[in-house]
Amino acid sequence: VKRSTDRILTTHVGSLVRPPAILEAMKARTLNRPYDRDTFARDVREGIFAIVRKQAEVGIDIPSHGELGRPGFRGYVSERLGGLEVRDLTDEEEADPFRDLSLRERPFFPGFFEQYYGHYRYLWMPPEVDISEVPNRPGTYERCRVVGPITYRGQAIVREEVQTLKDAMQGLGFADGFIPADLPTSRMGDDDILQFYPSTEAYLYAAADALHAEYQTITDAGLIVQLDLAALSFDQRLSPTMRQQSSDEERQRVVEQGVEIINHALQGIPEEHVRYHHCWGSGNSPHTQDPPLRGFIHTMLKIHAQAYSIEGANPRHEHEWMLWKDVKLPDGKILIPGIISHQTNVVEHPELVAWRIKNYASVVGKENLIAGTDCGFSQFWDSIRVHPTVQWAKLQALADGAALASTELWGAGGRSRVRETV
Amino acid sequence: LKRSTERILTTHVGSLVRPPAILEGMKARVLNRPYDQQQFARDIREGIFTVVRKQAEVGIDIPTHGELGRLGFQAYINERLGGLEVREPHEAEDPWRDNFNADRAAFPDFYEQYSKHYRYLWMPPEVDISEVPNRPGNYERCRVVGPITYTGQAAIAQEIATLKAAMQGFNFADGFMPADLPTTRMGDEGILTVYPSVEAYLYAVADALRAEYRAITDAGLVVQLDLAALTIGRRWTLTERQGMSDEERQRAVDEGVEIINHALQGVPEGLVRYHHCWGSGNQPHSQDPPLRSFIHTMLKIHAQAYSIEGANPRHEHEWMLWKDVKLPDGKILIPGVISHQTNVVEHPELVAWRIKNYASVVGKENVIAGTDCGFSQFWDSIRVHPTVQWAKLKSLADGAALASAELWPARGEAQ
Repeated sequence: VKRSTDRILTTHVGSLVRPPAILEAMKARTLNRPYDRDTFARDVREGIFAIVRKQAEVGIDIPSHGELGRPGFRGYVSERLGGLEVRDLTDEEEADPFRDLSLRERPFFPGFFEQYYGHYRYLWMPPEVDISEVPNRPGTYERCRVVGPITYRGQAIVREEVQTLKDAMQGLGFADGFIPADLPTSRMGDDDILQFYPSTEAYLYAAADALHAEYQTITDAGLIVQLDLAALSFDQRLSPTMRQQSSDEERQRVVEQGVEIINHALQGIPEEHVRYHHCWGSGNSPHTQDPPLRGFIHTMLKIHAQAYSIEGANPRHEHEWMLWKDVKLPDGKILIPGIISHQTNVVEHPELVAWRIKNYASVVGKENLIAGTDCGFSQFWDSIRVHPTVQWAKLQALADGAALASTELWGAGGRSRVRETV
Repeated sequence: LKRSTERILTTHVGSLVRPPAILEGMKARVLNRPYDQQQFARDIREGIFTVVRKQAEVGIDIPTHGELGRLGFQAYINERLGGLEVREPHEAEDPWRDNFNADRAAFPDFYEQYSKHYRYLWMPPEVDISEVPNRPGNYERCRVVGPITYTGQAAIAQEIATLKAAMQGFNFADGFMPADLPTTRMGDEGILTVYPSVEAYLYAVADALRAEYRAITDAGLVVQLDLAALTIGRRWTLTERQGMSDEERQRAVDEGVEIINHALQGVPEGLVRYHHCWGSGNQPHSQDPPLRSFIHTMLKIHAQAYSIEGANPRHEHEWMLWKDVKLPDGKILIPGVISHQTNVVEHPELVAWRIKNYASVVGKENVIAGTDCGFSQFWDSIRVHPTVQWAKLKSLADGAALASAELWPARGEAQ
């Protein structure tokens, strides 16, 4: 992970709004309809080239491939794991596909969620992509069943992703490139685990061994792997029953165990090529029940990553930069706070961006800071958080604000954000 | 105006989400359909009692009637002015044409989609507005047909009486009522058939609206002048004329301030607050002129308090402007520390921090914690779900209590 040695570097969390041609293919896949796979592969490759160039143009230093070829930040991995089978939804699951989401918060805002789940997927879907036939369900709707020992069989796909990103980055003078990857701990909700493994824990360690191959491929290519799930946020990782019934200590134990499993998956992966993203779920929802960062910050810091990406731009977590007055970021680590939010259409003012960056710099040190976003802009193909033109305006504001902050933090001696090669 | 002498007082910008029964009445009015006017009046009265009680419960110190009985913060005034007639839209008149032109030019596709969905997001499911044409809340156009007079005496007296009755028995610091500005009328048609100039017309409107302001302040309530009169590029401002130079624009804005101050003649400044915002849509706002470009002009308005945006990410950093600009003695700032442009509910600790930032530059006694704008500027522009609205207002009060405990350590407790 390159550091902000003479100016504040910029990055984001990974997913970007997919172009219409890719959305059409995703729709076809979701509906089990035929689509031209060769055209899809070309669209993905061209799409990645276009958005990588666009990231360079707006001033992002550490780009991703935007997850363009993946249906979602999490769902993508089920087809890369052997021993796993996507199962049909039960009638109960079909009846309320949103039932497992936001369990803590829903009782406080039932009317809100009723309407929100009814509209959020449609707000920014391009008008030419008609998703009226796609059932209205969250990106996480897919359920899997264990049907054999877990193996990694995504080598070809991840190599393709790595190669495309590297090709697209050629000549644009980026500091680094990153690819998000799913966590083993996100598999704990699978069915039939105990038919093949003695315990859920044993299963998760097996998933960790399998996913290790994906991480390894990414870092072997010189890219940064971003571990990408809110593994520490109770709501997201625990089963609904556990969420409702377990005590704080039990939950803490499960979380600690999760960190051990993640670190097991990271064995042999150079820490300086790993960053970890924590968020509290990306929905534009009240978030009043989010556990505060201070509740698990020390646990998070045990993950063997060099950099930690956390929310810092939305009004539920914006003030948490002050936590770093009391908690020391360990030596050698890097913080990637969100300075830009996807939860409002209002584009952050570059002066606000600069101020937020300077606040973080004042508590963790400017060299230990990379300016980022709260989360991705389209965690699933059909969860488009803002209009794509707003997405780019926000990333531009991020880079413009980082340039303002750099000038203040390094004085005139700081380097301009304009890279020689662009 | 009561000040934050022992703790940070809280208020908001005025409009609150209307309950379904009122929305049905508004819909019937807009569609020119019959509805039970007596029932509607009862619903409004009960609705105001409910929202005032609710404001007390969440900890708002300076409440309003939520504009529940008004179609919109601006549209309500058309029926209170004599000499004015609502006209039919011209053929091919785009109802959106006057909204956010500069930002719209920068984000045309965003606006295309946004204008199609925002009115429907939080309309209660039981209120079907599919028959209501999709147009902005300020779509109504008027024509001048005679000398302008104020004919809203009964309506405003009713609003005042209801708000005061609803506030009875609660320990509010003050109560306020928003009111429209004369400068919003410059887009009317037929002005020159009745008045020698647009300026003469606006002064006549100012004379008429003074009656509304005085009715409010005579009752001991605070009047809030409620429109972005200083923002450049809006239809209802004096600055809209195309191709104006910066000086011409500044002159037009200064003229607007003079007209507003003319309307305020004889209205005690201690009962006036002025609200500035850049438009309440959840939009990029990339073309908003910065506060610094008109702050000195704004401060010329004869109001004791100024309500400005401070919570959305286009203007959140502007609290720092007050390091360089002195808030004049005796004045009060009401910064927005809560935004209606995201569903995420502000953390009370964030609210407290924002308040302390403002207190550090203008003095804690000169700060009242507010919101960026209303929550439903028009009956069908519901910015967030009502439960989120109340959670946000509760966070505002909780955060103000946290800030108060830090800012007045000796006193320590809030409310």
